[in-house]
Amino acid sequence: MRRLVLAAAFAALLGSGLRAENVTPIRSNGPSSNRIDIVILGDGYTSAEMSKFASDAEAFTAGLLGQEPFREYEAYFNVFRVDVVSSESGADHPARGVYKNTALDAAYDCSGITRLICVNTTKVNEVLNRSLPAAQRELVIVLVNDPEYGGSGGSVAVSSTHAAGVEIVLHEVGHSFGLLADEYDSSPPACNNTVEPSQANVTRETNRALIKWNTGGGPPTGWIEPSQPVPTPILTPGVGLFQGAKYCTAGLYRPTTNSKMRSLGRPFEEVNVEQVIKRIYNVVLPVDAWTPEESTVRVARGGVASFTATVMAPRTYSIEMEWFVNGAFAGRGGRLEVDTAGLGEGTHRVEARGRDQTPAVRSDPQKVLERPMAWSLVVFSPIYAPLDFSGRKVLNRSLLRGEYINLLTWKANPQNGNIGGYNLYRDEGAARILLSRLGGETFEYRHRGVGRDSQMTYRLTAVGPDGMEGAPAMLTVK
Amino acid sequence: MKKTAFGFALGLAASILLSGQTPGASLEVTLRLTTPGLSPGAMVMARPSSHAFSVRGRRLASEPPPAERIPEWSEDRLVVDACAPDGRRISRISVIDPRLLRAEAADENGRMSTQNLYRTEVEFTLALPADPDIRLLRLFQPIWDGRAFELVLLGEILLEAGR
Repeated sequence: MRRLVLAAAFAALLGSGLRAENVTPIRSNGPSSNRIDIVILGDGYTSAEMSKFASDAEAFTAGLLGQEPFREYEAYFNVFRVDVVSSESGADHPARGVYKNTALDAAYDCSGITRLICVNTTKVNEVLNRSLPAAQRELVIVLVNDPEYGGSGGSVAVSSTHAAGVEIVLHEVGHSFGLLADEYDSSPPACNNTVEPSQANVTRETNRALIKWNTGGGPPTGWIEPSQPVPTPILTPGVGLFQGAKYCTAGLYRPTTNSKMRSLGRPFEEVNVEQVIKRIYNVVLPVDAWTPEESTVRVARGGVASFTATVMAPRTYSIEMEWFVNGAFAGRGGRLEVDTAGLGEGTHRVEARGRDQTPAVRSDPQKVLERPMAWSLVVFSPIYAPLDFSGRKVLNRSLLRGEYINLLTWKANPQNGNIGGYNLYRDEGAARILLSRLGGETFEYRHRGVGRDSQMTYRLTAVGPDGMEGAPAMLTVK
Repeated sequence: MKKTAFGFALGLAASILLSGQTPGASLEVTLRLTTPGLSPGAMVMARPSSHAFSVRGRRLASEPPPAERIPEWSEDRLVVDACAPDGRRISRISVIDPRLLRAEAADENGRMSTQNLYRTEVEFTLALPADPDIRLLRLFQPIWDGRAFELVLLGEILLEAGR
C-alpha cells in the first residue's frame, strides 16, 4: 500500500500535473525486493470498460501464470494492474482506415505488418513513472482492448485480447526474461551459424559431451539420455540435439523437436524450463526472510540461541532448509534452536542452506537455486546475579539539612569468575536508568537525595570482562 | 493520505540530499534515446549505429534498485554503468533494449516467424542506487563474439548535481 501511495507522491514531486493511474495488485505474493513484478496496463479501454479491463487482466494473468514453469513458481511473482483510461475503445487499424483515440496509441499494421501492434512506449513510460517505482516493473505488458490477433515483443510486451495473446506474451517472456533464443528456423532475421550462440537453448556444438544442455555428458546433470542419438532425428521424443534453430535450417541445433520458443501452444520443454527457473532465482532468493538479522549472536553458555528462516513456496513441493553447527549437520526445517550447554565458550559457526531441489534444474553451477547463510555464535561464560543485594533508607545528618539516602549493599557471586564490575540501574516505569558503573571490588552504593517517602526499584548486574551483563539482582527500597 | 505520502517522499529526498546515499533507495533516471538522421517515429530493421541521449527526468524512490544475483547479458539488452565524476563505476545494470520491437507471429499451426525492428526514438527509465556520487552514465551494447560479450559504448550522459 505504501508503495502505491508513494507513486502518487512521486508524481507530485515531478510536478507533472497528471494524476497517477489507479494501481491494483492482482497477485500479491510478497515484497517486491524478493519477487518478480509484472505490470499490466490497458489500452483502448474507456472509463466505462474498466471492469472489462479488470476481467481481461485477471484472465491474462491466470493464463500467464498457468503454464510451467510459471505455474509452479506463481508465488514468486506479483502482478499489478494499472487502469489506463482511453477516450475511445479499441485500437487503430490503419489498413482499414480505422483510428481510435487511445491513451497509449495502440495500432495494428505497425511498420506494414498486419498483426504487429505497436504502442507509444514514451507514453507507456510516462504512465509507469506516474504509477509505480521503476524497481517494481520487471515485466511490462500492455493489453489492447481489441479481439483481433496481434501483439509485439521487446521491453514492453503487447497483446490483444485474442485468446492466443497469452501464448505470444509467454514466448516473448521467454526472450526478455528467460534470455532464450527462437528455436524456429525461418529467416529473416538472417541466419548466423558461424559462432556459438549466447543463449541456453541453441547450440552449434554436436559433441554430446560439450552440448550446453548436456552438462556432464548426460544425466543426472545433463539432459540427453545415453540412448538418444545425436544429432537427433526430428519427432524423436525427449531432449536431444535437433537441427534447425535461431533462423537457421542447418548448423544450429535446439534441444527438443518443438517448444514454445519454436511454436505457440507448446510447453517450454525441459531445457527452456530449466533456464527460466534459473532466471527466476537470479532475482528471487529461495530464502525470503530470516532471523536474527545480525550476523553475530551472543548467548551465555547454557542458554538457547534461536535461528529461523522462511523459505519461498513453490506450488507442489517445499524448499528444505538444512542447518549446520560448526560444519556438522544440525537439523532441517524453518527453525534451529542451539542449546549452548554442549558448546564450549568461544565463537561457533551456524550455517543454513535453503536450496530448491527441483528435478527441473539439473545443472546449476552458479548455485542460483541456493541461498547459504551464516552466523557467528559467541558463547560466553554465564554471569550470575550478585548475592545478598539489600538496601535501606537512612537519614544523613551530617549536612545542614537532612538528606535521605538509599544505602545499597551486595556480595560477589562466587560462581562468577573474573568480572569487570557492576552496573546499577533504577527502574522508572518501563525505563531503566543507569545510575552508575561500579568496579568489581565495590560492594556498596549510596543513592543520595531520594526523598523520605520515595520507593525505588533497583537492578544490579555483574559485567563480564567483555562488557556482557549477567542476570540482574532486583531490590525495592521504600 | 496523499499529503502524508507527499511528505514522506519529500523527507526521503531531503534525507538523501543531507546524508548522501540512502541504502535501499533508488535514483530513477528517465532517458531519451534518439537516432540522429532518422525521423523520430521511424522503425528500422537494423540496429541503429548512431545515438543521442538526453536526460528527461530524475527522481528518488524508496524501493531498492532491482539486482540480479548473477548478471546475465544478451544482445537484446543494454548495459548501463553508473559512474562517479572521475569515471569510477559505482553500479552496473542491464535493461531490455528499449529500441527493440519483436514482430513475431504464428501461422495456423502455431509455427512462428519474426522480424526484429528498432525504434529510432524511445524514452525509458533506469533504477540506480541512490548514490549522490553518480554523475555519469555510460550505455553499452553487448555484442556476442561466440565466447564472450564485448561492450560497445553507445554514449555517455552527464547528470548534473542536484538536478
